Amino acid sequence: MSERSSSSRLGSAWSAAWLRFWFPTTTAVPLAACRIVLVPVWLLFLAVTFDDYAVPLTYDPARIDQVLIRALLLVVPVEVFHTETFLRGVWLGANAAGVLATVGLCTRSALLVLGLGYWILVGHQWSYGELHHTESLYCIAIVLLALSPSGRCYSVDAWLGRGSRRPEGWGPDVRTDTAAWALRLMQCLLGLAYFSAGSAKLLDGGLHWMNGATLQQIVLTDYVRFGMPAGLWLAQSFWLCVVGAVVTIVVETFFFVAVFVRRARVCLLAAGAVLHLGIYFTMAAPFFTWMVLYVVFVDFEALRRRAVQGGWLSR
Amino acid sequence: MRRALEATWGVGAAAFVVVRWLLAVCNVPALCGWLAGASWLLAAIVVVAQLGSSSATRPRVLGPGGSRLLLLTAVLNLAGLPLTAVGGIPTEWQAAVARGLDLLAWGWVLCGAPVAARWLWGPEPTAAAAAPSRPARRHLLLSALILCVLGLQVAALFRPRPTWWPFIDYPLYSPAHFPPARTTHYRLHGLTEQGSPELFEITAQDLGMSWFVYHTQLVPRLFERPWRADDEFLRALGASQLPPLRAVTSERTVFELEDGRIRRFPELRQLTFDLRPPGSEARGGEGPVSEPPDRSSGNE
Repeated sequence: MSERSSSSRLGSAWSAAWLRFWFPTTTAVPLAACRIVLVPVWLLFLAVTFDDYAVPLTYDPARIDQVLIRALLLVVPVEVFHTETFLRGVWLGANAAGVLATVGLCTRSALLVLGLGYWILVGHQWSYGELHHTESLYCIAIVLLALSPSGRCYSVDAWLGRGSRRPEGWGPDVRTDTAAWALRLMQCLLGLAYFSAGSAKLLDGGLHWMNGATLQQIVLTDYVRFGMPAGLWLAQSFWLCVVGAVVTIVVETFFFVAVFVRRARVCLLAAGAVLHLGIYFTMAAPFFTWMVLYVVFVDFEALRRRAVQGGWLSR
Repeated sequence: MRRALEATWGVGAAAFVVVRWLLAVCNVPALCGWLAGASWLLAAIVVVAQLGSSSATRPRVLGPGGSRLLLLTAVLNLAGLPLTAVGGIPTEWQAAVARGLDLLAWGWVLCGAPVAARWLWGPEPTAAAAAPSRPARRHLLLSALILCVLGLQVAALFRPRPTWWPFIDYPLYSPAHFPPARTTHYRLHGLTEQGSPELFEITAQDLGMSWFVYHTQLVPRLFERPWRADDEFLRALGASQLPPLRAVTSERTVFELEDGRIRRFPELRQLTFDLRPPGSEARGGEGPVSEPPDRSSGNE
């Protein structure tokens, strides 16, 4: 009997912790801010041109290996899917939805069309043996925004909603317990991705990964490909490569701490940003998508409260 | 005395976890022995300090279960070292114990990192946001979605090939390399058929291909098998805006970093198969090939 009650106490403690972590009652301000940052930045700077998404049309569609695209091919015949017309239609639809999502008109549907559209375009691009890691988390983030109330404020929907019969559900002051989970989940996915990168280095390369020669070789390879002058300088500095390797492993393996310890966020996000900028300037690998995703860690609600108290923002 | 034991336990436990974790990923023979010895010593310190004191600190930091699990980890580590020191090929269960200890070490580091961060940066500010006391239907649905997304992402980390895009693994540059740092770069050169022969580089863009496919798949394939007709290449060549070609040469250059200087070792191979796209007249595959302008070896 007492065993049962102690296990039920444990169960309810876990359940309470789960609810506290994923479903705290808060405003939709951080979600809306993330929508306003992530969507236009994607459309204007991060998404590549349509020509790049059309490059795989020269490859044999029989090679398509991504489950998502293969599932889509069950519904859309390959003769229709593997054409410029179809992909351009998806691209145009996704971009038009992106504009709507930015201003917050039909926000959820627009975000869903934008997110799934780019899931198809990028998923198809990486269906032929080539795969890059920069866009996946960003595309997941857009779909998660679509599943959460990110249009509840700072949107045309909210403006229309405040003039409707039930205005109490709209605006930056409305508190709900479903406004935090999507951002929390993105934080967890970012932490997992970094941990995957750090732990893979430790499990595949072991402590040898920090021998200096590893980073020298990686940087040399990309210097030969892209000719970044800073890459040549780094490859020629053995001890800098040792330090760089240690810092890379520490930051990647322990980045997940930022999800659970708020006070550590500034340090870890700064370290992550420096790491990505270093990688960009020495190896030309553009992980700007990950850096922009750091926005999910920003406490926009606290910033808004401060702005309202300071008179910078009206309620 | 009690305070000294508590401090010894705290420092010893933290050091033990870090050293055992490093041992779990150690593949540098010169270091592994030292790490094994240090982890054994620290495990002994943890066991002695834990059994020798009846402090309330440990349960407060780790909880009663965590405290016992740490003791078990230390005892297993103490027992594991003599077993591996006996020598020879480890038996199946010895390997299983070692793998279990490695997993425990990873677990301790993962759980210990947030604790260490809280200790370093101070306790969290008290949460202003309230949370629902009982789960509602929407919480259950969203929880299922959260578990599904996390489950997909975690499962994707263990798949042999990343085919669940956008749920993929991130083993970015994970293999280790050893000196000298060396890399290989591939390029294609074409010789025009009409007018005065002119040698130029055929880029990925010329062929309407992605940079990655061109440099890591197509050109290495052409270099390794210059005699075998490559459909993908011929299709891309036929669809390109390039002038008719008399010959195509693949180039493989090995770059080696030695004493801070880069040395280059280029090698050229002419493609010997027919360059005609299907259904057109013969237009290449023979004729003289001059060297590309920058094939000479040198330092940068």
